[in-house]
Amino acid sequence: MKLEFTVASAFVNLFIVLILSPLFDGLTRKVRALIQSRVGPPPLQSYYDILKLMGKEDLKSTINPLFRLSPYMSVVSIAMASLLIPIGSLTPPLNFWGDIFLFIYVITVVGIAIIITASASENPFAYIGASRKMMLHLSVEPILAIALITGAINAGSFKIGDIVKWYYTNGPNVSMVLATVCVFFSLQALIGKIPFDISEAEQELAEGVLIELSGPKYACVKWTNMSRQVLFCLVFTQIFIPWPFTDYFLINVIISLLKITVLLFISSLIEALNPRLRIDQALKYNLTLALFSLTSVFLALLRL
Amino acid sequence: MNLLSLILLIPLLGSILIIPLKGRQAGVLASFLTFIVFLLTVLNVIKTFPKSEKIYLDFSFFKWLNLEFGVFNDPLTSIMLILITAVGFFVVFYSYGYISPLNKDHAYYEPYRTYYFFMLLFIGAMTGVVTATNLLQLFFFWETTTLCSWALISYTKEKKALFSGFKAYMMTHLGGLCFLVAIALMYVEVKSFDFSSIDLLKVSTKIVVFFLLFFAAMTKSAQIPLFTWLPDAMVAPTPVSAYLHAAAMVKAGVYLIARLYLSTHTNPEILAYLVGTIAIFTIIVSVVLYYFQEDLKKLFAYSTIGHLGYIFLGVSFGLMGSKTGGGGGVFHIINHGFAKALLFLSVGSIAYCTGTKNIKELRGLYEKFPIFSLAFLVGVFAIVGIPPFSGFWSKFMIFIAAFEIKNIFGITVGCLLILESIAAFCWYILVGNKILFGKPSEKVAFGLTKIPISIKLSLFFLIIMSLISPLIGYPFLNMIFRS
Amino acid sequence: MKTLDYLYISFVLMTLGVVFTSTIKNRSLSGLITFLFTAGASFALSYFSLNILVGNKIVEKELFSLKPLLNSSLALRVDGLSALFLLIIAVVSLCVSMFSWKYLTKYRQPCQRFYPFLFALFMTSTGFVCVKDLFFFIVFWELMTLISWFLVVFDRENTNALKAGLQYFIVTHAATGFLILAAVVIYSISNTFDFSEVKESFYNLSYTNPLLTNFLVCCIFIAFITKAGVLPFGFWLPNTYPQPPAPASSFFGGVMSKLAVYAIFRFFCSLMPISSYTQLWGFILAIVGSFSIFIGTTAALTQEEAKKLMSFHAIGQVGYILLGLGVGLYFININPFLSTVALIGGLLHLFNNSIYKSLLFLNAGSIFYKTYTTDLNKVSGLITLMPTVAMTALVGSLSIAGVPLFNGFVSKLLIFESSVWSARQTEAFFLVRGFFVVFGIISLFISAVTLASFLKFINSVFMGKLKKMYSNEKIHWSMNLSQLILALVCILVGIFPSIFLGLVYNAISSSLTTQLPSFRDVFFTDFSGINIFFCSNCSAGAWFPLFIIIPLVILSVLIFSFEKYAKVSKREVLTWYGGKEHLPEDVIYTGHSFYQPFKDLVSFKIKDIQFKGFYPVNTPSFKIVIPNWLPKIFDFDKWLYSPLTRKIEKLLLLFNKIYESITKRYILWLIMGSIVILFFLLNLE
Repeated sequence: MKLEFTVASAFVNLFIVLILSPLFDGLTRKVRALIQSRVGPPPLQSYYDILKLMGKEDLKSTINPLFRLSPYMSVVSIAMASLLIPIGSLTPPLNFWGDIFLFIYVITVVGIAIIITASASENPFAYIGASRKMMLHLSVEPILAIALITGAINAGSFKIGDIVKWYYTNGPNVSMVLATVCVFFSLQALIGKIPFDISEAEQELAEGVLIELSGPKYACVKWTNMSRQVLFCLVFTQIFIPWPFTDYFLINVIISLLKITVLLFISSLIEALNPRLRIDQALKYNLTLALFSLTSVFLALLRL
Repeated sequence: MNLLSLILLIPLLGSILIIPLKGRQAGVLASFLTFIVFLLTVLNVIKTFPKSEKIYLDFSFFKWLNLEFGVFNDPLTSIMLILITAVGFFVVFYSYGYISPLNKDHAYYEPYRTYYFFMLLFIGAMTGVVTATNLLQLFFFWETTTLCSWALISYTKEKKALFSGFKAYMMTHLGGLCFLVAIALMYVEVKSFDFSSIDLLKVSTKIVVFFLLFFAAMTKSAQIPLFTWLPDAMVAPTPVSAYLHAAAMVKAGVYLIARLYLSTHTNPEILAYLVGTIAIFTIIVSVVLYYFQEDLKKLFAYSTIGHLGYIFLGVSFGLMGSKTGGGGGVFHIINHGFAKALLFLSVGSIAYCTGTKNIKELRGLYEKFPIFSLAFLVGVFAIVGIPPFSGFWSKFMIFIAAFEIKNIFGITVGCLLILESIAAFCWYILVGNKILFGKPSEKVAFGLTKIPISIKLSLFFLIIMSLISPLIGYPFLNMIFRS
Repeated sequence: MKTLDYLYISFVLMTLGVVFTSTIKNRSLSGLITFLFTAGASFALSYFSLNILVGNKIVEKELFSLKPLLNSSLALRVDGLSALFLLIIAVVSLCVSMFSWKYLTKYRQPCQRFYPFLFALFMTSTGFVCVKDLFFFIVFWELMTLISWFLVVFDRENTNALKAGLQYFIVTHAATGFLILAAVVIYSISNTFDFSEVKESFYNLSYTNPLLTNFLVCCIFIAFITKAGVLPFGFWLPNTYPQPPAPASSFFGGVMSKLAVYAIFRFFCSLMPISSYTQLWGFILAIVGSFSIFIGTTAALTQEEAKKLMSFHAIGQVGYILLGLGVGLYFININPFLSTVALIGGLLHLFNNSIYKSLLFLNAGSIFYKTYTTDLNKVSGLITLMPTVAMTALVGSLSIAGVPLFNGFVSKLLIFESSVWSARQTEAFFLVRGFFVVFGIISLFISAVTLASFLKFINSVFMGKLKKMYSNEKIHWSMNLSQLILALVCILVGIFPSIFLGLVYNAISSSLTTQLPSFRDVFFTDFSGINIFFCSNCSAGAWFPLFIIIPLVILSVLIFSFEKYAKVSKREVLTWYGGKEHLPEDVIYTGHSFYQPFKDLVSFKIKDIQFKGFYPVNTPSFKIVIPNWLPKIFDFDKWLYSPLTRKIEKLLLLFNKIYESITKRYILWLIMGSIVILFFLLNLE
């Protein structure tokens, strides 16, 4: 692995996931507004929001040091997770054995960081939001894990890069298609948008985990949520639908950006047209999906 | 005059010396004499280890019977002697404090000389049983022990006590009659009363003689079907129960069988199986009957029956050819003796202070009487077989023997033994938990606080003896089974 | 000094500890003596064990022999596996004794009930892992049970403690009955108790009598599974571990249940030959392990009392170890590389588990020290009062959840990888492979559940507002230091895993009966990370903890500089409750309410038993009833002897009638008698 390549692709990954995410968020807001027959904010609005929040007052309602540190932790972990996904080529910047499990854990850490923020804020609304966020994460993570493991069994390797390579060269088989479908159905919960944004429910919980945040901390958590959208869409498009693929780095990047746009469009449609689920309904939905996706593992074992 | 004869004669003579004494002085003299006997035993053991010796005394009176009376000592006798004299001393010393009008359970009034007379006579008779050189001498002392037990059980002279004493006497005397018939049969054939002369008999006579001797041992050691005298004999004063029915009298029966096992070399298999079957039945019945007992002494009486079954079982495995079994059985004699005596004495002291032995009325003993609780716990763990307490080692050897003989009988017996061990443990720990811990019940809270020093000292030393009894027994076992 | 002398030194120190602490009544003095003596003993033990592990030696010595009576002897044999456990015992006992120095001041019971038994427990644990002989193995095992029972009923006035101790003692003693049965049968076949000779006779037995071999293995399995606390035999564990004082619970959870797993390792690796039974039992171990993982951790999610929460997690984590061991045993002939990874994963997880489980129990103890309660609903906001404890609790929770950069991740990674990689082994049966993959997925899922459960713990206890004013007394430095040491070990293993992997590899390879592929072939390591090979020419990858830290640090610096750049003003405010004024006590979100929908999902009722998190809350009362007619049968007196004696009496009374003084009767007798005599005299002629 050449060092220049690693550094270059790392920069590209970080750029897309961190810097471009407010743009995609703006896109989402525009689509939602158009569906609701409004004009909506300009696409660059999210950038303005974050920059504005950075300059607002920082309200401290607790002496707990974790309250101050964990919002930044969440951004850092999203950045870490982005380094594990291949965008410009078939291998991600950080490529080593077992990075599937590391990826799953880093995604968990993203959730933990926000939960710790919520619990450190000592507000009961935040606690309810944190509890629900954890439960949601518990029920959704197996689906992603099962899908990645199906890929690992098929490709014979625990590296995400190898899985993508194998998938590109061998084409789809039954188990991988099933895994892709399951991840698609759980995508909304992974991203954390309606009908699954239960932990930041504005009407029910007064924004739940975000209630005590303000100023730079609020900016960081909002930024994390935006980046999370882009990250999981990237996971779906790059790992589970790796076509088309060319030999040029920049063209691949543009292709992946286009794929993300399409996916986000679909996601915003679902968001705008659906109500929010209750937590127990969401749990049942996710757990049933997880049990169903186990069949993909067995199919992979049968070499189908 | 050698040590063994001294050990035999001092208690017998001492009992006569007690007669003119009044009141507490009888107790003092008795304790002193038993202490001397204990010291002499220890000296003798140290002196004669590891040889065995036979010393004959001259009684021309019985020359026409072709036998010689005397005293005899070998490793098995040494083990029994240590058990008998040690527990004897502690029990007599304990009685000095227990047999008094202050006893809350049952106040004993003067004169005490009958009690100490019979106790010393009993100790002498037991010593005679284990040091006898031939079966006739053994029988003589055997019947003396029966007589003493009748007197001691009926000591309080209440109606129930008198009846229980009489019942015990009848049952053990029935065994004694069988014993007499057996040795008469033996003499008619081979003209000798020696232990090893059973080998010389014809097979049919051998079976009959052995069966009759076993029957005698069975009645003395309370196996099925003649076991009912032992639970009823619990009306005796507790030191009597501790000595007779834990350490000494019931051990006479097992001593007889062990001696036969060690002295004879040809035994028909059928007898070994008979002994084993009766023993395992006794063990199972005693475990089942634990569940129904409310009185602590009766519970321990059934436990004694069960453990004597263990010893018989071990010896029967030895007869079937497994040396570990015989060793385990003999080892269990000393382990069980000390532990059971300890348990009975602790129950007695609890009764002395609170006035009751009923499981339902005792609660929270630990707070008020720590040393009794400690004695109780040590005794229970030793009996059940938890390492490093003494019962574990001998019980484990018997388990091994059950599987070593490698037939269906051994395997079933082995599994039943392990089950019994676990069931007994469960019940004991439940009982212990109930009476030792928790809030003190009424009778405990109002119990006596002034405990006589003799009771405390005997319990303390008996705990120590119970803990080191495996170490005491181990060299003798090695000696017996070295070949 | 010879190596074995260190072992003797530690024994002597511990015996002296027992003697001294049983006579001293002063709490602090007794605690100080405990701490000093245990520190000395544990340093000696750790030197001894590291010596053996690093050098890959085996030390043997026979102390005394019970021959010729019984073919067994107290022989010591310390190989790598025993040395690893000695290391665990050394570390945990050091921290536990350091903690208990000042901890017992909060109890009013005399300290003589605690310290001597603690020392005795250390001693018997050390002896247990060193013996080579089955008989003394059982002796030490039972001794451990006895001494731990005394520790469990430390608080004798509490009926819950008494009941729990009773349940514990009875269940483990019954399980030991199985072990005694197996040991006795083995002795009758092999005529010796020594491990190496037992191994050979086992080998012969597996060919001649497979049914008996399986039965013996089953008995041994049940005996040790019960003590390790694996469900369904380990039902006593959640009732028992909360009862003793926290240092004792910590030692139980950290060491004692792991000693049962040591016994399983020892039996399956050293004593039993590799044959088709190994595969069968490997699979059974994996099933039992996964069952325990799933049920234990799900039930832990519903617990509201700190120590009970830890006990359920202990049940769950033991399942991980068994899963690793099971996968390793199954594939030991098919794919030795995979098997090595799985076995090392299992054993390393055992090591890690001891460390962080002891740490977590000590945390619960510190909570009790300050607030006199461990109920999660009643405490909150303790981070201001005990910051060090909160930090170490966070480290412990992240370790047990298996977050990267802590020790749990290293071993869990190995276990996941080996169980999922088994899907590629085409020689194994399809369904078995499927099961292993499902077990891997279950263990991955349960990692997240563990994390959730511990987040609930940290949230309820340390975060939030302080409910009431507790005393200002600071936690003593000894208690803080003991927890810091354990947390430090967790982080150390997480960042430099290769050292510990090497040690564990030495431990496993010295105890197995077959040869494992060499360490260099399977794990290519240097101090920065590890490469894992699953077969001799499969591609390799690497887990470089240090290389992960570098991007993390860079990113953190970038993000923090953002905040500094923003230069915003800060202002302190009260917590916002939606516009209304509430007192903090009115709006506390207690531990009970966490994950309530999930709890409802996994709770159900079957007949009378309420299941919460797949675990029964109230078991039906279990009463053994022996029918009353049984003693009536055995009362021989009543139906046999008394009627018999009465009949004999009547018969004798009948004879008495002969002698009634009626003259006519006598004359009749005389005449009849003379006729009979005449008859005889006539016949004789």
